[in-house]
Amino acid sequence: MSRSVWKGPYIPEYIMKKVDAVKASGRNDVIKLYDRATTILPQFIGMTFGVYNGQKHIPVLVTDQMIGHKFGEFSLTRTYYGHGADKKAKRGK
Amino acid sequence: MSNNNLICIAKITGTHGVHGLLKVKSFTENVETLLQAKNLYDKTGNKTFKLNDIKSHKDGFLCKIDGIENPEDGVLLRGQELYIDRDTLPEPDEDEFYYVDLIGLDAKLVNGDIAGKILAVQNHGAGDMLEIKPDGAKSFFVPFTEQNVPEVKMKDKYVTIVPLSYAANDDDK
Repeated sequence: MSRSVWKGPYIPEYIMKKVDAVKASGRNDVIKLYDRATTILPQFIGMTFGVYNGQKHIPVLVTDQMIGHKFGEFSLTRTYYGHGADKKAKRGK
Repeated sequence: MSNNNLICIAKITGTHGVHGLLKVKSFTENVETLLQAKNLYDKTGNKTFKLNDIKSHKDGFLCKIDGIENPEDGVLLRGQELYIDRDTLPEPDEDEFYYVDLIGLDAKLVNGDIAGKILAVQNHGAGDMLEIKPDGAKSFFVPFTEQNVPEVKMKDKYVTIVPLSYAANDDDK
């Protein structure tokens, strides 16, 4: 069941305070985040959040395609190492 | 064949039917890697397998291996991992690296100190990340970007990393 529209997106107030503080500082510091259900807003684009997965904070660089999703979707709680095989990693800009 | 250069790309998971067909689970990102592999090896590199008549089946493949004509022979190969020679993989594009090449490299800080070794490359949907394991400490993640990983020296077997800086008093809610 989806969340009622009249409530708006779920954003804890303390996160908005941290976001404002980081933006004011002008540095691209990582903001630690424990509320995995927090909705990603357009004003978070370009910021990096350390989303807690129960063990450690997983860095998530917010891009425009993530808007409306929850932070927890980008921080898996189960680690699967598996086989590298022919998988390739591309170094981002 | 030296086993230092072998990469596991598939595993035989069972048999299918009465003619000795084998079920194979592929670990590859690109199916062509398995389909075009001329020679596959066991872990030691001494035994060679040639997969024939490969076809897609559910979430894996069915194939025939020379000398396996019935399920009784096939079941003996269940669990057999299939390896490929690393040198047969195509060269990656610029700024692209195979996971197997990155894993195990030293991670150095900009000042030259060793931060740890690359334990794994993970992607949770927000880009590739290097998992760095320092000696005697918990592993941590560094995004695989030019900003955080300015240098990748494959020949010298190290990468230079710039660890993430966290906002002050960040554990306060």
